[in-house]
Amino acid sequence: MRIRTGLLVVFALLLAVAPIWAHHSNAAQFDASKRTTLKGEVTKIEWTNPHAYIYVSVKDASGKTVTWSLEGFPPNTLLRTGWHQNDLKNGDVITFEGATARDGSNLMLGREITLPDGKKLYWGPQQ
Amino acid sequence: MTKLGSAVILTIFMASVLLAQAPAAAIKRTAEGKPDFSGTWQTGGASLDGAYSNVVPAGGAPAPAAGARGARGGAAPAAGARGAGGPAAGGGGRGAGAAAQPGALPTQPPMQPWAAEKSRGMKNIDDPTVHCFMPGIPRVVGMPFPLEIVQTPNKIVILYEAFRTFRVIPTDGKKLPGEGIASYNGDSVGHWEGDTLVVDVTNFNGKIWGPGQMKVTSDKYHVVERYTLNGDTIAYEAVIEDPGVLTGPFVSRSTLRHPPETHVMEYECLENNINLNTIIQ
Repeated sequence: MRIRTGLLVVFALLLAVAPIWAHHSNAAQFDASKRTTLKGEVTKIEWTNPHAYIYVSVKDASGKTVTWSLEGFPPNTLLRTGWHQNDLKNGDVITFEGATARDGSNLMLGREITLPDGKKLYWGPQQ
Repeated sequence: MTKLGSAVILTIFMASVLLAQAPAAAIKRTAEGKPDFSGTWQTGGASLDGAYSNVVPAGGAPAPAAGARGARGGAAPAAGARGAGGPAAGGGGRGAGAAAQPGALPTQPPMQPWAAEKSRGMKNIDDPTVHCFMPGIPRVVGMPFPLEIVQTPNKIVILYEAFRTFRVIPTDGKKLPGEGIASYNGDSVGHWEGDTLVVDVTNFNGKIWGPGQMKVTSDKYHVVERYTLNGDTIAYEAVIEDPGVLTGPFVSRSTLRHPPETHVMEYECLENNINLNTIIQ
């Protein structure tokens, strides 16, 4: 599977022609240079359009619990790129990483998610 | 080396050369002999790479490739069409403007000064698709979602997963019956030029964005599309004119390919379109 993944990546890079307009710009909403990695417990998952969301309870440095909202691909895209709807459930403890919202809120364009079994998947697009 | 040996080697060599120059695989055709565009297609996006593209490799994430990565999965490259596309269509074609060859047209929109200034001032929150409105033509073709082409002897129907866009395109050169209001996707009339389907699209409502930096359109917006089947890809080309906004036509190109093992699904954009207040640029 490593080789197949590698070949697919090469294939994608070679053939990745820029679409005429590739969706709206995430840079207007998220700062790719301000990334955060956190760990917490999933409290809600929304498999909705235009973006799926995972809500995670995280204890901050002072011990206070804050809720982070992880924006992701649309559900159809998630299903096509390796996710299954039963991969994540409320109560799961996950590690997550991504670009944080420009407005300073606890909103993130989720990128790498580590599931309880150690599997890593991308929740949203690279930025 | 004997003369016979040399002749054999020369024959093998020439046969190889001839085989290498053999024509590309014949394209699929309908019973009427037209190129058959039927199927599920997509130009880009993370899901075009299929089920294994999204699994983080055990050794850590691969370094992103400049440009290519940015074109996938929703991070938008700001520039207009950079598609490798298919062969440049020969001949001006209807509506391409003053006998201009599409191959020679600019790939960025040549805007009138007021339109360039207005486009520069547009923020992401002004994008109609951020509010779940249909992207229009050709912007819907570049969305990172599949589309389904259904072809009949005198019509092509395209169902785009993106924003539930659909188009009915007559291919016999005749407009569909009845008058249509100015709309997001316009009215399409198609005809064949050899093996290329040429679609003339008019009657737009001025509410969509064009490709690239064209963030304003008028009701004079006009697109001529060309679809050419090359084996299992479609070369897509759109020539855009808008006398209300542009100083001349420009061309936008892309390649449609089959996404692996999927079909067009529901995309109800309005169901949870939240956090718009965080789109601040």
